[in-house]
This record gives sequence, C-alpha cells and structure tokens, in this order.
Amino acid sequence: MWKRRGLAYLVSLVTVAVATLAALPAYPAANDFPALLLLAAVAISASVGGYGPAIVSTLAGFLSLDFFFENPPYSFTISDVGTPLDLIAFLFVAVLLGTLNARLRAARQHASAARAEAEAALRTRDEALAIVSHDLRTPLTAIKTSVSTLRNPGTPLADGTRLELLGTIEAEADRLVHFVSDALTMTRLEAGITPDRQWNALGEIVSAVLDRLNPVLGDRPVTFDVPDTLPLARFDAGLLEQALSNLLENVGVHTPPGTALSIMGRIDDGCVRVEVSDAGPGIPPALRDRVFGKFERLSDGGIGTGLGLAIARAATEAQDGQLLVEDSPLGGARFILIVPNALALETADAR
Amino acid sequence: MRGETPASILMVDDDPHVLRSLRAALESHGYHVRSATSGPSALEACAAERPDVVLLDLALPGLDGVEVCRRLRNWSRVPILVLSARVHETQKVQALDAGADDYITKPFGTEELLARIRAALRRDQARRDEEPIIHAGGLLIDLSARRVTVDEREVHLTPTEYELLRVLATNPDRVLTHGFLLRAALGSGYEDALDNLRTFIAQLRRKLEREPSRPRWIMTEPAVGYRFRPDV
Repeated sequence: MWKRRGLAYLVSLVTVAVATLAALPAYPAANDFPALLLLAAVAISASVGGYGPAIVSTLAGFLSLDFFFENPPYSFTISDVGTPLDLIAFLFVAVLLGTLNARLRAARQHASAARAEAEAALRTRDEALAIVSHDLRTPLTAIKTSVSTLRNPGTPLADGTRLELLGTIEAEADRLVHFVSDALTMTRLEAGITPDRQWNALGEIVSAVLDRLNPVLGDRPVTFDVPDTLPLARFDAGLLEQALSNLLENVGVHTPPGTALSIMGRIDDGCVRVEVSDAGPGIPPALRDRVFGKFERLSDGGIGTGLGLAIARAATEAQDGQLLVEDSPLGGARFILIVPNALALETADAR
Repeated sequence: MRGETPASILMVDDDPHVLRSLRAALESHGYHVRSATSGPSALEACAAERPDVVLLDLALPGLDGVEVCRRLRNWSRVPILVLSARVHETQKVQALDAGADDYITKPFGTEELLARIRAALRRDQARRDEEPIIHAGGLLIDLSARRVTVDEREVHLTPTEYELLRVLATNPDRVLTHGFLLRAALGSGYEDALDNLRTFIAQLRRKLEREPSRPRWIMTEPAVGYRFRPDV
C-alpha cells in the first residue's frame, strides 16, 4: 500500500519532468505549449494517484513553468498576472480529477466488499443446501428402502422385521415432518412478518407452552415462576409461544432426562422477560453466538433439525425482542427472552 | 340414529391419496365413510347424506373451506373438523370463527385424528342429551340452578363469569376463539375487548382453579382462544 502511494508520487514528479523536457525545444515558438503539457502532467498524476500526487505535480508543474518558461527564464519570479492564473487552473484540474479518482476508488472498494459478502452468502447457502439435502434424503432413503422391502421381500419377512420396517417408516416420516415444518417456519420468519400485538397474560402463555411440551420434557422437574398477579402486557402471543416452544424443545433434546428446569416470567420496566434455565451441559461462552445460527448442531446432533434456536431468536426478533444465553444458576444454560415496549398502548407497528 | 349403527364421516379433500389413506384408516375403525373433492360437492353431500362428522380441508377448489364452514352452519350443526396444512393462527381463528369445531394440522397421526373424532361425537351427543349438570373432576356446574361448586364448595360467580364458564363448559375440548367468547359473554360490539376477556378469565381461574397460574379446566390456546378441559 505504502509502496504504491510512494510510486504514485514518483510518477507525478516524473511526468512533470517529462512534460518540461518535451516542452523545452518548442519554447518560445509555441508560447502556450508548455502550460498545456504541464497541465496534462497534473491530470495524469491526479487520475493515477489522487489528491496527494495531484497537488505535488501541481506545485512542481507551476515551479517548472515559472522557472523555465516565464520571463525572465531560469528564475523564480512572478512577472505578470498570467502566472497565478496558471496556478489556479492547475489546482482546479488537480482537485477535480483527484475527487473523481477518490470516488472511483471508493466505488471499487465498495464493489469488492459487496462481492466478498455475496460470496460469503453463497458459501453459507451452499452449506445450508448441503445440510438440507442430507436431512431430506436420509429419512427418504430409509422410508423408500423399508417400503420396497415390505412390498418385494427377497424371502418372506418375519413378523418382527415387518414391524421394525413399519416403525422405521413412521419414525423417519416424523423426522421429515419436523424438519420441513421447522424449515417453513424459519422461511416465514425470515420473509418478515408484522407482529400482532394484543393484550396478553404472560403466565397463561408460558403455562400453555409448558403443557404442550410436557411429552418432550418428560420427567424433568419444572419450577414454574410466573406470578398470577403480573399486569397484562402487549405482545404477539403466537411469536412468544413459538420462541418458548423452541427453547423448551431445545432443553428436551440437550439436557439429560430428569434434570431440573426452571421457567421464570416477569413484566419488568415495560418489558416482558422470560428466563428458561436448565441443568444440562450448558453452552461455553465461545459458542454462545453460534448456537443461534441456522443448521448449527454443536453437540452430537442427529436428533434436532439445527433450526430450533435460530427459530427462537428469529421469532423473538420479529417483535423487536432479544434472545440471549448465559450460565444458569442450575448449572446449565439460561436463555433470556426480552420483548420491549410491552406496556405501551401504541407501538411503532400500531401507527 | 347413532348407537348401534356406525357413525358416518364425510371427508372433504381434493387429494386422492389423502382420501384413500384416510378412508382405510377410518373404515378399519368401523366408521362409514363418504368423500367429496370440492366445496360445492361437500355441501351437496352434507345435505343428501347427513354425516355425523365432517373432515374438511381448507384449500379446496370451487369454494374455500372457510366458506364451506360458514354455509354449512346456516342449516347444520354437524361437527366440523378442519384438517389443514395451513399453520398460522389467523387461519385457525378464521376457520373456528366460521363454525368449525376443531382444527388439526396436516400431517397428523391416525391416533390423534380418531381421538378428535371421538371427542367431536361425544360433544355432539352431549349437546343432544342436554344434561343440566356438567361434571369435570371436582368441578360441578348445575346449569338449571346456575350453581357452581368446586370440591363441594360453592363458588360465587358474577353473571359475566358464569356466562363465560357456561359457554366454555358446554363446549368441552373445543377451542373457542377470543371473539366468540367475547360475543357470548359480553354481547356483540365487544369483540375487540381482549384485555377485558383476559381479566374475566383470570378472575374465573382464581375462583375455580387450585393453582390459577397452572389451570386444569380453563386452558389457554395462545393467540387463538380458550378451551375447557373436562377430563381433569
């Protein structure tokens, strides 16, 4: 970089020197010729190097003009009004071309940044596509193979084998359903939706989500701490339900059966605040941002779609909320979900 | 007509594969099955065959499923179970407000479908029987005397609270939308008074439930409405 800048200054001095040498034989026969040539030198420096080299060549060119081509020759004197006018003209050209050059360079930088971004997006898309294709093809393969075997067995199948194949078909179909519905939910959230803010009782939403996810949580002892006395709050209950369901499903997948779980809800400072704390393995600080990424499977994986926490965060952000993770007092992870502006009558969306 | 004879079910869906597999599942459980593949033909079949339950897909050619619900409700109280691939709450609310009894998202398991059909038939039978007393766990509602007791302790409800409870309890296991409950309890013109409804429900729970924040009878369906659970 510095090398290139230095080169640009050198070029500006060399062009002025070349212009001066080229003009000398013609002078004084062609009176205006030196000024024009030197102006051209300034233009070249400005377009190649920008402001700095342009100013350098302007000064050098002006000095050369005054020294070689103005009366009296071979001296630095300002003899008539033409000389300062030359300087102004030189400076004008230098600034004009320098500006154009700076703009061009900025545009080029912008374009290359955009290209890098597009390439990164393409890479992410390709990775996502690879995962999606794997997650769709694996269960489909199992289903298709099982069905073919049931229809055309090489040798008659034992009852146990038949049941096993039927079980595989059902389990793999369930896996597909789960994956497709997660992918559709994610797509819907990414496409952008307008939150439907209504007056809600936080406790009944949390309670309903807990009831619905009871099969996933199994025998985990749950501490429910959402006071019955909380004021009503304005938020999109569907989006909150979505986010909480995914958080609890995540607990169901990533914490050992029987470990404690606590869910706390408050209306705090005009915000809805829900905390889900578990006693699982927790999430190391270095991975806390990545857990919310799409198709991130940071543990052994296999069971989840890799979209659960991404959906939880997208659903929360869809109503201007925040979803964070930290250490839990129970020893595992604690997810904190905050939805702001929950007591305001009018929100930005209601305008 | 029910009792000895098997219940008859009308399936309305435009996909022949869905119809075929549903028919196999339902017939193997003893139901008498008819099918229709469009909105208008569904209405005709309902009029001609008087099914006991209608399974209705929402995306139909000719006439939208929600509209089929609405027209059917002009003259029939047959239980309508909506089976739909649409998952958003708004569509659910639309179908329920148009008169559907229940809503199942595709794809579903046969067990779940059969359970919902049985619940719908039970509800319909209870409506015909017009029993004046509703039992649900320790909760007892005497509709003739307007009297409510929990574990034999009498509970005093305001007229609005009683009306809400009556509407919920006479529609067991059925999701009632916010708008429906507000019309039923407060009269028309109050459909948007969601904060009032939340307050009434909270009061009702405090009077009935042992743990009001973890209700056993009056269940929340987030963003849609409430449901009375009879089998605590």
